Amino acid sequence: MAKNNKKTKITPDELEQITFDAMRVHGVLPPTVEEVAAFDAELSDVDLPFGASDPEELLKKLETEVDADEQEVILPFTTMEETSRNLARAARQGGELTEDIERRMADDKAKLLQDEHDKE
Amino acid sequence: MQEPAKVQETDFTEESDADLLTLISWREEDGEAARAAWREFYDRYFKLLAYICMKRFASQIGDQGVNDLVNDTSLRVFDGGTDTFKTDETDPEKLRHLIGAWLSQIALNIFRARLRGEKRLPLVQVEEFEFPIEESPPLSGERAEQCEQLKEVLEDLKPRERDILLARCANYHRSKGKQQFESHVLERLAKDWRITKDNVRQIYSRTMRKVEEQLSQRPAR
Repeated sequence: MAKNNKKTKITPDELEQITFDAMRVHGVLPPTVEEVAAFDAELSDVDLPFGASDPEELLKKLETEVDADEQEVILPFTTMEETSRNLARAARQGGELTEDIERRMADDKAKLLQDEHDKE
Repeated sequence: MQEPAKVQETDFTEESDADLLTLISWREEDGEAARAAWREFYDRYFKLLAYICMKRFASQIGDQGVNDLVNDTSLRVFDGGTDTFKTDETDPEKLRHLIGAWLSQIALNIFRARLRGEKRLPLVQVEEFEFPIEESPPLSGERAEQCEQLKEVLEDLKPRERDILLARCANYHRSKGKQQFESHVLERLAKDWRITKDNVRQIYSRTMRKVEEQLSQRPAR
């Protein structure tokens, strides 16, 4: 039987019907109630590749999920001064600043402010 | 089922499915009973839901993905989902199948959320639980061929195209013929993807052009 690629005219209505049928056959459209009944009738012969989970574990998962959603991330309020101190600490890998370093940082800051003031 | 002050027992193996859903919905009032009812519900529906999800999603997300999807879907039922299931059906078997279809809708919505890359999976909107999927007639030879022809193009769609097409198809009514995008579906998609409603329409049109192009190349007999 000879075949050719002849264009076939399909109306928009037909196109939607065909697409709907194809989605039903190949796609993921949920089954009708009648189809569910047919699936239900087959269940006794069905072997699933996985079993039911522990329902209590699932409920715990749900609660964890909800808790995580409800938990707001609140950033601590810090002043600029605290921020620079924290950054300095971070640069020192969390180590405490010695009194000497703290004093020198304060001196540097005071000098910087004085310089800016002088420029004005 | 009348609302009790507190449910004393936690063995719900004899309760009907409808009563289990009611007990789960009282989670705020009686958490322990709701948990026990949900455990029973999970036991009853796990295999059916897993089987449906294997049929629908395994080719796209694999066995482990399906397992996760089933568990997430079940958890959504506990996490406020019961409010969205409404039916007057009293026949236990029919009710079971209605619940199966409802769970499948939740699974689809979670799957769609994953397409959008959302970490926290949303609860599903009420309007999406109205079982809009109509029963389709058996596919004729030609239609079956056309569907087979579209397999590749549907698999190659980008996540956004696929999601929009999914939402459109999930709200498609065969009997109405060519339809406008329902406004609530359009609004939801625009919000979900953070684009305009016009963008949604454009993406849908582009997707349909891909489909049409594929079909128009169909070898004529």
